[in-house]
Amino acid sequence: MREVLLRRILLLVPLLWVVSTAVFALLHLIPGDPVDFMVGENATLDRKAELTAAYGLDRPLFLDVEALGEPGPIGGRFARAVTDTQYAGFYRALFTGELRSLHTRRSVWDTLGDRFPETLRLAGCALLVSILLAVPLGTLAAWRRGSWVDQASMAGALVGVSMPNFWLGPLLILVFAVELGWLPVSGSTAPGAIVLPAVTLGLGMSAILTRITRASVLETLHADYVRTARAKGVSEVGALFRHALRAALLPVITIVGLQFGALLTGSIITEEIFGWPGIGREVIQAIRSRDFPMVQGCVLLIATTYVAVNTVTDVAYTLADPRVRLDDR
Amino acid sequence: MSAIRIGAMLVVALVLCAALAPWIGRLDPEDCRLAAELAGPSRLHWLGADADGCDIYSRIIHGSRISLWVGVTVVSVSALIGTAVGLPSGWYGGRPDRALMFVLECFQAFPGILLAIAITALSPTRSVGLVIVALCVSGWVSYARLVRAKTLELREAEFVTAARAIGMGPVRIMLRQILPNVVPLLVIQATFGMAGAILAEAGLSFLGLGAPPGVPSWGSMLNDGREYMLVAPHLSVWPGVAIMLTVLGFNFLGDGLRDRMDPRTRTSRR
Amino acid sequence: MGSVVAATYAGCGSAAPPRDELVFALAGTPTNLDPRFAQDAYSDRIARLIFSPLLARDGSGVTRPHLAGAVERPDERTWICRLVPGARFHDGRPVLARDVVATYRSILDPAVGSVRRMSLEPVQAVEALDAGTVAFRLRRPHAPFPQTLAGLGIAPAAALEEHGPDFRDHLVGSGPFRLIEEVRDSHVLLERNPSWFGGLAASPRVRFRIVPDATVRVLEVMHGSADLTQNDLPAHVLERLRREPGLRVDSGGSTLVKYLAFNLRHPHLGDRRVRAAIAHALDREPIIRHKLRDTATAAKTFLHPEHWAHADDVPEYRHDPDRARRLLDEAGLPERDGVRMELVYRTSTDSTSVAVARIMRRQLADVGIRMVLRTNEWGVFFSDIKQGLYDLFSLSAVGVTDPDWYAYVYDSRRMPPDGANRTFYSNPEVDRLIDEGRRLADPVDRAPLYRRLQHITAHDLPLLPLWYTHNVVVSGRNVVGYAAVPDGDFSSLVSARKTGPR
Repeated sequence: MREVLLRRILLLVPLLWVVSTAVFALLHLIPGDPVDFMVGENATLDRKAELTAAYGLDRPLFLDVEALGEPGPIGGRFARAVTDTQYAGFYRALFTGELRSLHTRRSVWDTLGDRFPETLRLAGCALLVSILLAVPLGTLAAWRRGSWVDQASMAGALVGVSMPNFWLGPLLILVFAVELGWLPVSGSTAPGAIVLPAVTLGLGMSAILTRITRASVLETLHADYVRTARAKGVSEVGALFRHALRAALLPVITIVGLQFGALLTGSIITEEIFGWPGIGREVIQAIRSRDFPMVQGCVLLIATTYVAVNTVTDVAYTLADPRVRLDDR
Repeated sequence: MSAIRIGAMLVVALVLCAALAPWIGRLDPEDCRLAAELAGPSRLHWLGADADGCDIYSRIIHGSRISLWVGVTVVSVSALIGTAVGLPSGWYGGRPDRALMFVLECFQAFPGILLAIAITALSPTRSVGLVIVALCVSGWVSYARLVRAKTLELREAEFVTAARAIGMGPVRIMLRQILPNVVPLLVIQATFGMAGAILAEAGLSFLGLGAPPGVPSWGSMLNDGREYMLVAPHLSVWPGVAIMLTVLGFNFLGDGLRDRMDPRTRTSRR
Repeated sequence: MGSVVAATYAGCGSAAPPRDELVFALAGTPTNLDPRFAQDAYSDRIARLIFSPLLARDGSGVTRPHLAGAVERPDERTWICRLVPGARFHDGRPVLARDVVATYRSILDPAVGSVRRMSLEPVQAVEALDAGTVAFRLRRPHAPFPQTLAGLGIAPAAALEEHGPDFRDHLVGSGPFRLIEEVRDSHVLLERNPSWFGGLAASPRVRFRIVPDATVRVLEVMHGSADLTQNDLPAHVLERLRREPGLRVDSGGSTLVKYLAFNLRHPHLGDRRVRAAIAHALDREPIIRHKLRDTATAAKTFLHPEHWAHADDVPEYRHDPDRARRLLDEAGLPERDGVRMELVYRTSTDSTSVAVARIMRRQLADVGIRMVLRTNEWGVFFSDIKQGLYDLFSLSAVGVTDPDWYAYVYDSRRMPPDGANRTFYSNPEVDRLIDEGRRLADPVDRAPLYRRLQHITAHDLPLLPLWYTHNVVVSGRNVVGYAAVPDGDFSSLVSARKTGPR
């Protein structure tokens, strides 16, 4: 197991390289000039050219062909042709910690350091909301399997996932913030501000969690050791809580890992609706304004988190269920 | 009534709606009169009119075609690609498997939004087809994982070992033995995929990357209605209800099928 | 779970911000409040509350002395500014000539990479004549120079030198407010400057809260957790808001002009009759009434009616489909199966622009012009129209304060990729008027030139002004002293305050 884990971590580097190169290529392929976003619509070309040069955006992307033709030893020429490019410039900035946003001029890592915890906070609460909804519902559904309680619980869980969150969000705001006045309308600073966005984001995941909980509780309920416990006279509820729920926790972990991507995508929309200063909004704004370094920074961070979450869930799954070998995943 | 029946009914309703749209969708969805804008339900406009004065009822009916088209195409193409990658990956294992899994992880770690913007930006005209492409590119991954996991499991099964023993070639085994066992899982995943595609299209509309203006997709109707939420909620309510019922239907169907297939096994992980 | 319970108790009744803090809801976040880099609308407007420029602008774009108490023009190319005595920065240091020089030189320095360098293009040199006097020497006479002086806030020389590009994290200005806290995409908190040379701002604190979604922003103001918001609101919601007892909705003229651009290199659009026909085919009135809910006024020219150079008697293009059809027949475009020609219309994905485009499409179809609508994400849209990949497009002109703006769009020497004359319009007389208008200083002399320019261009019609978009301010009834200014900035916040609860 250890070597598989090590391999996973080592593979992170080539993965990040592939993803960031693909993003780089894509960003420069899409029409749209970041300098336009800096100077507005009526700028003259020579002024824009200055800015373009100042930010190194006029350098060739991957290879400076002209440098190859210059006089001098071939080694030096080749080195110049490769290093005096935007691609090399990006990695230079990355490794010297000098990656700066084109529009805000702040260090990309400073900004991400402020914003990423906000998204994690929101995602964490969303997860909590999901679990708090899903586990009781799923357990209930499994306990009374086949009855109308089962149907109703599953239906209820599904309603949450069937509504796009840009629709659900304002609806919740209208009811709970404006009409009832219990919670703030938007933003992240007022007390209780996290509740509505977390519910909006978490409701979608609660459906699949309910389903998983129900399935695994069902399986555990019929398992031999539970039947033995019941035969021994342990109350039904007791048996349920102790064994079934513990077993349900494992699939929950794995689903969290799988749904992490969906959470991140969902957070983009939720953050925009609620004005939550997280990484979802930052990525969208950066892409829209062609802030290349910021987009790259976000992508690297998201990709790393993604792989980390995947690896952790794999490990957790294997630890909990020794029947499964990490290799097979 | 069981979940699977409700689900099936809703799905059938959707298909019928889409098929009979030219007949049951009363007014031409493009025939919009500005004077009728934001009108409430009336005899002419059963569900009211939207901000351009177009009849909401007809747009919802015709929108069912878009939803069905997007859903079916995205799911089929994703499943196809996913199977093409997952089956050999699971069967051969070792290096090719690791290589394919690396590619898969790269795809998953890649921001889908950027891809969606790139795809819509690189084409001169926006269309529903572009939305489908964008959704497929990010959608095939879950199918690949599913197929691979099942293939790994079946690889050790007795009937497969027997087939190998009698000298059946790997391709035949994959197609004749493994694939038929994978298909039911694919079908179940596909029903959830349909629901997901419809919701994803709505999400893309929110970001301005969805269907072009005028096309009656439920997602873009829902998004367009957002800014009128306080003055004309019916703009969003009806497409929202349509989406909800459709997604519910597919989810119920999938749940029911899964239950029926094997209610006691743990839900497959990937 | 605990946070939910806590929220339930804490959230009750604590919606309204404190009496001494005015909360302004913004649609987007400022990217950089450093005056050398503040180019987007939010950054620029908030930066002007923190940093005082040499001159201030009033409602109709006329400049008046501010940090510079007096301005002299000894010759055509020299401008001398005498600083107001007693002005201090937020850290207590006096505002001196060397601070002005340092700010301007920093912007002019190519190494700094300031986005505002373009606006200082005519400046050859800036120097301090004494501790309180600054001289600007220009390369050539440039009458609109006061506009430039009114657009740039002054920063302390010492701070600029010490922090360089990181000045944005240590902002010190001399404006009516000083910066307390800035959290990107969340809020900007300002506190009034007790020693501002212009007096004392009415409200002790101002908090800008960033609420990107328009509906949620409206809910904030309705709910009372925001006191003010300006523009970026869907037109239909305003009617609803007018009926709210606790709110007030004010609208006023602005310098934002929505226009239609014709690509004069298109084989048919190069013919003036075709352009005139399109102008006659369009009917702005129902669009303004229904789609925009009267938050706009039809426009004949880019200079708003109160502008000193506004020409009211320019040729107009009233809605006249018959005339349009006649003109198109004359231009040799007969109707074949109801269609005379096809034109590609580009716009961004902004919902109002798209809705307007679709209405226009119907109006043009009425006279036999088939419009193909292409909507794209902003970056793509702008990139394409810069290269002339369009037949028609529509945009809003921002900040048309000095008529020298016409140089951007009509000067034949400023065609893409060099400039913004994206219609490829070329008229030597117009070029001459632009040059002359720049050279003269007195508005009395310049006005007739620009009136002539408006007449010529209204006839030639490379651009068709459509309407002036109003500035709309929604505020709680307890907010007094705030009025929208035509160029949409927030300078009125200096006199805004709350008089108790709503």
